[in-house]
Amino acid sequence: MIYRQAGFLTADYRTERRWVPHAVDRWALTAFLAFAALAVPVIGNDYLFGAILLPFLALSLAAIGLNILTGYAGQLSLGTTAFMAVGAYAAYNLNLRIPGLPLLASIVLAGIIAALFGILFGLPSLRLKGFYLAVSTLAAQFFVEWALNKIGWFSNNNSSGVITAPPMAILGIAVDSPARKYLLSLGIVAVLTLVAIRLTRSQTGRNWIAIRDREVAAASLGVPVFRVKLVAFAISSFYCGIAGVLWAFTYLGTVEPDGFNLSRSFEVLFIIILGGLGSIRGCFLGAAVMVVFPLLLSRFANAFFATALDPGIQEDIENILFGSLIVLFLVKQPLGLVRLWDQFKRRLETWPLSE
Amino acid sequence: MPPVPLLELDGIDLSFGGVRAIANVSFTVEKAAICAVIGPNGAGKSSLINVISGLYRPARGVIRFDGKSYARLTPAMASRIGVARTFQNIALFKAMTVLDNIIMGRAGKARAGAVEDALGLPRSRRDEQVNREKAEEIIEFLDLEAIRHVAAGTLPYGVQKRVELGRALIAQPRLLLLDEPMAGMTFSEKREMCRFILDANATLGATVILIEHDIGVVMDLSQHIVVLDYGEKIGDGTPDEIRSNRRVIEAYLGAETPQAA
Amino acid sequence: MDWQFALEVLIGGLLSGVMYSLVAIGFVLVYKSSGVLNFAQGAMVLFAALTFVSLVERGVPFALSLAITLAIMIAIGFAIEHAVLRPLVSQSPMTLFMATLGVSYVLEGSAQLIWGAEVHNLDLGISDEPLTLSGIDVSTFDLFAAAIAAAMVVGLILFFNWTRIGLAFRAAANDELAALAVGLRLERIGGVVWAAAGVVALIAGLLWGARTGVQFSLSLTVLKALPVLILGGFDSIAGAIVGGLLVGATEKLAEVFIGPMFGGGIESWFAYAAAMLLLLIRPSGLFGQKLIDRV
Repeated sequence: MIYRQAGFLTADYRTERRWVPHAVDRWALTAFLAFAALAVPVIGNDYLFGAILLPFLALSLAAIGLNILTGYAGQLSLGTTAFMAVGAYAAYNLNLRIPGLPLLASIVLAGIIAALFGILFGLPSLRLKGFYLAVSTLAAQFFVEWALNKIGWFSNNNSSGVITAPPMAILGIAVDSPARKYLLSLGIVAVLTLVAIRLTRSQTGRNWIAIRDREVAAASLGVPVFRVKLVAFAISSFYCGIAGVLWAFTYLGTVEPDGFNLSRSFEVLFIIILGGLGSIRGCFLGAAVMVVFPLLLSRFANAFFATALDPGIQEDIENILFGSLIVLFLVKQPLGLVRLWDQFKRRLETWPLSE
Repeated sequence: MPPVPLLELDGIDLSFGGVRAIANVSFTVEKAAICAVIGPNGAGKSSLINVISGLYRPARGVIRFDGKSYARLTPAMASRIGVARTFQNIALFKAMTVLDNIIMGRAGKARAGAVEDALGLPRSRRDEQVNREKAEEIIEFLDLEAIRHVAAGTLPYGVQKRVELGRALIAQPRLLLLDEPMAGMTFSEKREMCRFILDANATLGATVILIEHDIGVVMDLSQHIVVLDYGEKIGDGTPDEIRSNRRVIEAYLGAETPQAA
Repeated sequence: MDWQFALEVLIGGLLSGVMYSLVAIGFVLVYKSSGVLNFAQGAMVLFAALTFVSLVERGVPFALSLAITLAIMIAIGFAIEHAVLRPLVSQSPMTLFMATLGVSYVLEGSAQLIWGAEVHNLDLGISDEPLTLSGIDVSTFDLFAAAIAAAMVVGLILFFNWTRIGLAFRAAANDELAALAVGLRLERIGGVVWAAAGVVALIAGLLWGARTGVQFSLSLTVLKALPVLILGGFDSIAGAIVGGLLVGATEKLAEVFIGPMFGGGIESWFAYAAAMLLLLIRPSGLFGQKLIDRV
């Protein structure tokens, strides 16, 4: 009975519709966010930012994008990184070709360009369903990789299509150190997460779940099915596009088209399966596992065998473990880590009185 | 001049891969009536409901709703002109709460778009407010208060049927299509459901077309009965007329196969 | 344009299309019986080829290597069905697909962890001298591959039409409930079908491996097979063959005659674009059954 719901009553719809209904949870979340924004930039080192937090934030955002499309709206996408790549290259070109464009404006515009691209590849959803539609997203994946490699304009005629992040500044403050890049990422991800939560709790979000679970019934209730799908494609791609900008500008600094390949798309898909399909919180849990797990594995190998693992072997082991985890979660806990977390909290409510 | 009927079906034909599911069926349903469609299994009753709600497109025939003709009715159009329905095999959104399921019945009435929803602009907030108020009315009407935050998929069968009725009613439909609303229910559940249907008809003013196998219920509830057999209409009239209709009796009792129907 | 050259390209394309069909047939078997789009088919191809070639390189005789690999592939097929698909029965097709994606990662990882990641040459003892037929060069190896594919299809047809388990498979594919009602043991059928997919993967792996070398990219044959399946429909063996031929031919023709306009390399997406175009006209492919949305 460490944590309990008893005595928690609501008197009006506003209180009831609170995003974090429980006061303890609300305090914990506020404290956590304050810690992330105020303390982490001071106490963190470059390794923490560069190897953990920056990829974690970018992947979380991409996962939110994919979860909107696949977890909420039920449209399987295998081309997540195509939309990330569009965002990254769009931001690069906006920066390059429109002098004086503020950084945040170029990021938002890049998201919008990715969204338009998403609508284009979502158009087949008018006639196609399920795997047939998933193959359309694969087409997007291969086409984008090819176009960025072959068409020099996108990378300002770099021979291998590589782009490098421009110097970044917001209101005259240079975003140059890992800590500042982290703050920029954190700010963008926090705002977009709030927007995503708002969306999923609105009629738009209910419509997504409705077409996922019962498309025919949804149509009968007057849900404009095709439009709802396109909106899911657009918003999902908007998120993925901005995640791509973060990936390229704050995490890697320099990216090539092959950095946005099919395996990375699968990686994002794995994040939402592990974290929880149809859950925004799950995106963060899944992304944390995806980033931290390989680091732990190599630490573990170092400690055990006293030498670093051959990178090829490390990758094989990662693949086996991630593949098994995916199967295990789908079989045992299809709702992902987020459900395990909730079950743990429910245990706390009754502990030590009953199971 | 007689009042315009709410629904007129004129020569509806529907087939699946060469098999005729509905053959040249015509009938009219007056405003505020409760009309039952009955017939043996496979008679085309559900197909007919699917045609009226725009899910199936008939090969021939016209649907007139409140005097307006529709040759190609889509589900979206049907919902817009005021047709709401329930499904034979319950088509609730299992992962959603009862409250959200009922609110989904107003999906076609949303005024805010995705961007407004994303940013929480006034129209989106107002939509939510109105949705919630209307949903509470329905929840009270159908006695669902205690389970409003329960996931629909976890509820007993009879309660799910009631939630699905609520989802149809919140749209304030002019025509309510109920596909076997009482199938698999216990006696007391059936009685409760009858009360809800009669109330919806009397207080909310919905015209009702229902498919039902329990002939007792049908005779009690409806003023008008249409009988289908092998996709053809074989009876159409008041309960008394149907009771004495020879072809209906033959179809139901399976007496001599009618030679020249 | 030189018609003889065009014809050569066309024939080369058709024959490489056969290679695509080989992978696609493995998919169709599983999809037809259980509605699972088995993304792990490519990883199974890799696993089979890598196991076989590694055994041969370690001095195990050719025939014995073949037998051992065959046994392993059958065991893997049964294991996947038993450990992954059976617990997920009645889940959505999307869930099943994602599970096979997980399986493909496990198979790829284990294949390379066990046998290493080097590229191996695989010699099946078939010459690759071009055969000249009335002035047109045709690859002997491709003809051989086509013959093997044809034999495999005949074998599958015989299996499904003349054996008890084959008939049971067809019954289950037609109507699962009815099959259960007459007392067919569906679990056994499921296992057999996955084992058959393993065998098909072995055949595809040997032929692909002999052609391109045994390496990780064998796993990506799955991506070549997808547009084939889209064209032919996920549930038709005939469709997988015709789809493979179509993809092979158009891809080669496009690469040779249209590719230069785009700076080459278009085969990575051209088949997908072609498949998408066809889908927009015929949403269930050339041969797939049209599904009616029943309510």
